[in-house]
Amino acid sequence: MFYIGISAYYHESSVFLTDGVNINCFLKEEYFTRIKGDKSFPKRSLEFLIKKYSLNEKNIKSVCFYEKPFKSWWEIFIYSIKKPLENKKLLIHHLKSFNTGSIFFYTHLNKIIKISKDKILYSSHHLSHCLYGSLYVKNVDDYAFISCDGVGEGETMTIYTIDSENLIKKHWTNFYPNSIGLFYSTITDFLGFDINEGEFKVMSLSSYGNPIYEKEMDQIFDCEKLKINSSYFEFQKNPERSFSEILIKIFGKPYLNLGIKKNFQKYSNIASSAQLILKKSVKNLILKAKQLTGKNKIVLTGGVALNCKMIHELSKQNIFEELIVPPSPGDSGSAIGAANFSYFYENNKFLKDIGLFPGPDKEDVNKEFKLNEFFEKVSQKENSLEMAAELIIEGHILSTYIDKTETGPRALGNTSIICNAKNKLTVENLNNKIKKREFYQPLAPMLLKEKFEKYFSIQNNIKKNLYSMGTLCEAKEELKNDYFAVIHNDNTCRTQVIDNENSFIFKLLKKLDDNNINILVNTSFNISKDPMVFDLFDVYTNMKRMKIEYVVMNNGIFKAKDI
Amino acid sequence: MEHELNNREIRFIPIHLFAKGYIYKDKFIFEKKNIKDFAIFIGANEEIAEKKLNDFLENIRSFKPDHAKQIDKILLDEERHAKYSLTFAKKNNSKLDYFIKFSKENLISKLRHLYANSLTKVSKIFNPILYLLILIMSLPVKFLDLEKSKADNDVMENINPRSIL
Repeated sequence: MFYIGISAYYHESSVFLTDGVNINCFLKEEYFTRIKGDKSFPKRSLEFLIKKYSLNEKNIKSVCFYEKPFKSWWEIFIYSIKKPLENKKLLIHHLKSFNTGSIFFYTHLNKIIKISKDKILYSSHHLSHCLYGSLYVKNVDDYAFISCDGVGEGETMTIYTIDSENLIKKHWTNFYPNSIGLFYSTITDFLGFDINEGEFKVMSLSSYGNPIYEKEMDQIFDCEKLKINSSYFEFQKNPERSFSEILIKIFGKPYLNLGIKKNFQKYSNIASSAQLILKKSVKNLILKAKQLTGKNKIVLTGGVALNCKMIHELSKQNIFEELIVPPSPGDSGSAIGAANFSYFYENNKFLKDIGLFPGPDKEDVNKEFKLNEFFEKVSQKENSLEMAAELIIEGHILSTYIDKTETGPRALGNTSIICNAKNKLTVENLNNKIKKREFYQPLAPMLLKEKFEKYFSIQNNIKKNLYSMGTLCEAKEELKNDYFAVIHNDNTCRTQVIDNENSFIFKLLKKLDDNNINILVNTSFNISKDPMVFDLFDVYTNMKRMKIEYVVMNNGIFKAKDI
Repeated sequence: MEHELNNREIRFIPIHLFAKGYIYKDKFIFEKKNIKDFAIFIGANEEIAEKKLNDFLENIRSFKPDHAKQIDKILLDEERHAKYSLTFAKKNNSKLDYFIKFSKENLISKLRHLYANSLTKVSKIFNPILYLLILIMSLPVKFLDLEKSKADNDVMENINPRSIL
């Protein structure tokens, strides 16, 4: 019997299917529609699963939506209607969107597959985050689970525990609009980046500035009480803009050109100040969780947990014994949390660890694809490793399209673009010309676990997050000599360590070690603003667009043909 | 330039149309139409877009030169798309077929614009009605005292998994 979790309508729609034993399949709708962060009902993902697993009413145990649809709609409505004059625009928009949102989840699902109403479950937004996080720890009883994101069902931060008898307790919650996630998104909007997509740019930018606006930011968000000063914001009033005129009076014009030095410095300072407020707030949230639960180990989920700079900075404050961030802590990972909810509801036990790659196998995705029409094989499977190593040494940029797909926003080697991190020119070419990233966004290094200590340092309390790029770490002198190109200007790197001896990347790094190359640059296999590649059509078009010559697949190395 | 054009300022927000696929709610156009018809659809609509953008450009060039530069770039793309699509369509359809299908797409496009514009006008009538409803609803809400619980000692016991509330 299958359990299905669905997250949709707000950001990055996704579906997770499991049988609770050995079948796991996670899909994002953006893989199919090629619309980054696609939030529409995950019709195509479901159709893929229906076909692959011959899904029907009989073999589906339950389908669980990741939040309570009406509660989510109602909480915003009831908050806004208290001030109908002030919040007029948002209220009209909210009423008009009633019939297009998640309230009609069951109707939308039934258009794809007929399932009786008895099999439909609804989890709770932050509970789904928590249950997703629970999959990445061995003893749930040791941890406090903190969920922190923009808003879900009117809640913005929640603290849970799960005891050894699986009793789930909610210890504390904070309510809309007091959201550190919405605060950070507003700054993202002010600086000219897209909300839900540009937050990581703000994080990168913050390393170039100083938090000279700390006092002003303290007025905007109270880190002690975790309260927002609504006069600086418009997200609660206006669906088109998130900041108010008062914020403009403090920080000046929004959307300035970052290409001009003085603008860049000013915006870096704003980003740095916002980053500081975020760190202080989450620190206080963790302290609150410790005080309420008595737990010293933390699992942090929700979109805020994607801020790996904050995770790194918090690790130095000695406020926890361990902090775990799962690979996809945002709303898309909540589909997995929702499936865990339904599995727990039916069986009174949780799902087991689903690993870093619960996506579908690449072969399953491309059953109808005629490989030879688009690609030319340049190396057989048995020689792939040898040839990939040679190409890397020669300074080529390789793409990988192997095994199963990652869950989170970060490519972990199976759907990546890689190159020799020693080769400064290649790294610059990859970042600026191929991926078309901003110059202030650093590329991430990957290396074998055994080599980590040689080049990097990190607090033990966040070390486990290195497998999924969930944190930053510090560069040692040894790294600066040979691998300068992967170091951010604040001397940090978003490093990934590899210890799975069966993975291609592990074997490749071992091979390259003989040639004194210990570190590869790893970035996701997609062009800027596009989703990661999913099928071989995406691989082909992305290779052509980015002018990448080689792709490593399960059955050899290939070149894209000119057709 | 001091002020950079931002995606949020220049993005096209097709509020009256479906977020994806333009005209079909459940499918992309290329999934619904065959390649020959799809090429005509793209060609005809890109030509219309090109004409509209040109008119728009003439109106804003003098007082929004930065925006005009961006639109110039977009126009080049529109021209290219229209040219490629129509060349393909002409090559793969008979002259009569091409003429009928092209005229049909042009007519449908005009009707679509008429529909979108009428929705804008309709919203001018309906928004005040909605707002009046909101004002009426806001009165009893003032007397609603919905207490929210900050904690829950047994989440699974107190949640109703079948409820959307």
